[in-house]
Amino acid sequence: MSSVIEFHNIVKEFHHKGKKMTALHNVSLKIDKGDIYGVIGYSGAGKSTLLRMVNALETPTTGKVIVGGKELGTISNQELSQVKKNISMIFQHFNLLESKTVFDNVALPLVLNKVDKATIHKRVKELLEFVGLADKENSYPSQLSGGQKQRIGIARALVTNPEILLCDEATSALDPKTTVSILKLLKRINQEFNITILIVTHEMEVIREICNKVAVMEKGNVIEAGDVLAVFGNPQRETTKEFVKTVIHDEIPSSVVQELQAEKRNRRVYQLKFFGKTASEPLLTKLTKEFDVDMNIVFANVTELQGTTLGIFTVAFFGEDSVLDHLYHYVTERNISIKEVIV
Amino acid sequence: MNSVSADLIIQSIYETIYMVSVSLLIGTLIGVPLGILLVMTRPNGIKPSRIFFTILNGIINILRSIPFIILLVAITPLTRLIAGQTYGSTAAIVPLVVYIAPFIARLVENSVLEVGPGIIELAKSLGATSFQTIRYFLLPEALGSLVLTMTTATIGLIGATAMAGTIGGGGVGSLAITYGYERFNTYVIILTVIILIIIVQIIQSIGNRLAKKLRHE
Repeated sequence: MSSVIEFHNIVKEFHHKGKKMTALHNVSLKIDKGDIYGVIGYSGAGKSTLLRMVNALETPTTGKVIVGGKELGTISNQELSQVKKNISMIFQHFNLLESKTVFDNVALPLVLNKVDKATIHKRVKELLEFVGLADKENSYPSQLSGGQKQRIGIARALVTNPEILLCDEATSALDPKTTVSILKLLKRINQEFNITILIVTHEMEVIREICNKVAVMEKGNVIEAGDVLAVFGNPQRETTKEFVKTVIHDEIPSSVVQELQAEKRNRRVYQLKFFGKTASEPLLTKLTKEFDVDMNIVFANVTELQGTTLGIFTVAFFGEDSVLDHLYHYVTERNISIKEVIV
Repeated sequence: MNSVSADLIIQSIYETIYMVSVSLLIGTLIGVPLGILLVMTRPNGIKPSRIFFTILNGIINILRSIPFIILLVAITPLTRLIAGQTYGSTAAIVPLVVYIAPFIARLVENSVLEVGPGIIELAKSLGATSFQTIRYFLLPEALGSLVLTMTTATIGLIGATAMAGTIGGGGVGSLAITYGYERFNTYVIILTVIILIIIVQIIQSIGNRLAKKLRHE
């Protein structure tokens, strides 16, 4: 697959009252056609600055931004506006014109492009139908709920048939239920129109629900990036672990820990992670049969990610150290992630 | 006791409306574009220009600092140049415009600045030109607030016309001064104040209603 957005060694410095502040340190990322690419980080991590470079709302101090094969800093203004026509954006606070009707809000990008009225009328109707708000065309934004406002924002973004959709904290102002419905809509857009989506968020749920790729940002750096399953399943950095914890629990409840600590028998506690098919293999049964050990599941969690499952099992095994060593090797040989948890 | 005729009162009301409407019209034609230029050229505006902004901002501040009664006298040569005379309602329009245009510019600037940064971000993301940003984003969004702005300007102008009486501008305010205050006629003062209250009330309620309608809240 070819990359539609590439960031090469992006550095962004801001000067404020004579002080230099670096928002982005040497960031490189590639986003492929058809990706729903999530960039997650706490506020101030530089993720919005990065997003806004794609449609030239920000320019890098050094480094290259390549969109659709064109390097943004080097092309003419005319070419740049051509590139920008293929990029739409939705916002945290929707940014709808309060003085205009829903219809006029959605029509706005076409009016700016001087499209004829009949085409505008047809296209706006189509999009309002698509986002499920055909009956609201004469309403004003103040009469709509947050979720409806974001749907209008999405209709406005799609009205120009873009190839790339940028989402700047698009669900951060919405309640959890509305968030899910907006995320489903974004997924549909990605699948039906093959629009590449770059989404910036601080909510791990957004990444879990719709993204296939993720980059974790911290203090202007990308600290981890790759397939959601890989990054979620095996987080390396502290910040990533914190984010993963918000959607995938892997901590043993404290009452269970107390029970384990009171247990006299020799035991080890292992955390096992299963991806996809391995989740359905009867590994635990095999282990108890193969090795003469007792076991007790002290924590378990199965999460669906990208149509596959990530299972986390924390199991206490009771037996001789030598047997438990064998068991550990047996599991690692089967390419299943296992690590000892100190209780 | 009643020393003013009904004709004189009607004549005065007519003069007030004449001075206010003409100077408001010309003041708007000058003030609104200046207000928009202030918003555009300010630092972090859509077309920042430090020199232009500093000069324009300075001129507006200077004109806004001069008390109207002083301005009226100070710009007599300009009034003669433009109106051909320095006396009467028409002549009063020149200082009234010089007074109200910078006021409108400042009010328009404030109204347009109230439009959130999100709308400007949207305009930029849609690749709107500076003209399109003003025409399709800032002005429509500021319209409700602009109507209230113009209401404030109009009422300010009515107050200023009273002083235009000193150069023979006429109007309700001048009626109050010459027939009421200077002749110790309390009845005329009260009558003119009532007329002014009614005019101001009408303008303010029209403004409020229009603004409410435009804001869709």
